[in-house]
Amino acid sequence: MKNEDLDHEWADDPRAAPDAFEAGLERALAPARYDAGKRPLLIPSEPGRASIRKRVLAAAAIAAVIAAITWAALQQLPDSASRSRELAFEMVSSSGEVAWDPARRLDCGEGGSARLRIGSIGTVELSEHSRLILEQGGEDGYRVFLERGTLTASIFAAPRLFAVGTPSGLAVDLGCVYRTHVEDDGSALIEVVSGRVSFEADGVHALVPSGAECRARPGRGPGLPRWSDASPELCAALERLEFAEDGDERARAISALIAAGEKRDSLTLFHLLERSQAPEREPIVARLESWSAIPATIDRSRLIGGDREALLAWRDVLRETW
Amino acid sequence: MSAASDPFPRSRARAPERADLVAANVGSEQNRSRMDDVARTLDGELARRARLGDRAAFDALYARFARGVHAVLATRVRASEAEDLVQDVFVCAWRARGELREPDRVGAWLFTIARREALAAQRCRVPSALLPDDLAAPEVTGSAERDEAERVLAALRHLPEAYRETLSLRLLGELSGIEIARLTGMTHGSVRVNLHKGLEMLRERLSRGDGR
Repeated sequence: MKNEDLDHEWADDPRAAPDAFEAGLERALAPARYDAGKRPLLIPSEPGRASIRKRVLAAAAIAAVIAAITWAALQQLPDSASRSRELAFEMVSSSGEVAWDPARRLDCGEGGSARLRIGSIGTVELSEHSRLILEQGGEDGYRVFLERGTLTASIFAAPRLFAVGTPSGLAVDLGCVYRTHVEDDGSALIEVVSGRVSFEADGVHALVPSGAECRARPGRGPGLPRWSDASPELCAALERLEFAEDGDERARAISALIAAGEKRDSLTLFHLLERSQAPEREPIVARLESWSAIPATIDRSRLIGGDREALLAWRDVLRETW
Repeated sequence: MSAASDPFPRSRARAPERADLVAANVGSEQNRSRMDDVARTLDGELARRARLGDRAAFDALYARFARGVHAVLATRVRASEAEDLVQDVFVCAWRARGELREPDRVGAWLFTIARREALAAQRCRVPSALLPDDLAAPEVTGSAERDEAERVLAALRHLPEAYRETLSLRLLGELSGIEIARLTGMTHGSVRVNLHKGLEMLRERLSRGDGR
């Protein structure tokens, strides 16, 4: 963006002339404002080569004492949640830099990777530069939280028994193999290799079938799912829609998405239909029915009206191509 | 860090305050955005040197971004906890400096680390609860000014996330709209909307005496 454009855009920047309310807030918050000058940055020095051995030995000694105390404590608390997790998640193999706490979490550093057994329902593999928090494990289900990095899950169990939390949403297993990736900013990507995943957050959900993927961002939840090999035009239209700022921009992005879609992209368009407002639904329904006729048992006007039952009935028809 | 050891005394002295950045001509928006470009270049240079292990350059980045990092943290954890976490964020950043891929976006990178540290702190405190109900409980500070600040912060924390952080960066971090857009990756339009709506919601919340 040119400077001149910025100048125009920020010409009425409230900060340039804060009103009395904002000025009052700034005064009120002054005591809470961080003063770096009064708090010099203290970074513990990194150990030199000579001291590393000593530190490792000291750490090993401390770890041994902690392990002994922990073991003794666990003997007296046999049903603690951490023991439940210990039993639910078992390290099968690892390589490279890996830190493993059976009751809490798994970290993979530089060149590290590790495979965990999830009860008797499958395995997960954590790639390098990844952190996995173990949240729940047992008969009621298994749940982990991928804080960052990449996790590949191979689960063979009843639907919804296993789930991967991310900062952007919860990927609920419906019986499949899938990959979850979390970026440093908390955004997540689900790629399904086989089976299906339900990606959910705050009442918004996306059904992601085999061969499809879905992105999600913190605070926004899952976006629209699409086929991993969708056309560049459809991908571009999706991105425009995701970042659309206002009604006109959104309308243009929806038109582009409708134009770019082909029959199998009913996956994307149906999810769009579910999340659309009434005025937006007519062209989406028209495009979808050009690919798969609406069954006589479903009232078209109810689809336009956003009736949940009608939408689910039509989804079952459309899903034959997913 | 002493001024003598500062490799970029100009950036160090000027960068922390937006008002300083545009001191030559405060009324000129054109000057403001150009000075923002200058600040971005200086940030990138500091980050490149810090990435090579230059501690003085990293201290300059600390002076430049600590307030903004604190503003990000304060929307997610209590003010006192946020102050401690600022140090953790920069210690973490120093240790991970080799992973900084885009030095020109060092501020955004620090904010990302701050969000992650806040999330980790929340998870340690109350698993699976991002904002516990008691988060906004006023702290015993011994100062009416601090109590008032905490009351405003508590109200701020109850705004929707998008408004919360944008507004905190403005009011607590003292960043301009242009800087907020650059450091958060939001469009300028989004920042403007968030600031406007956030201020309105904060006004409403505070006017009904709801600091929680």
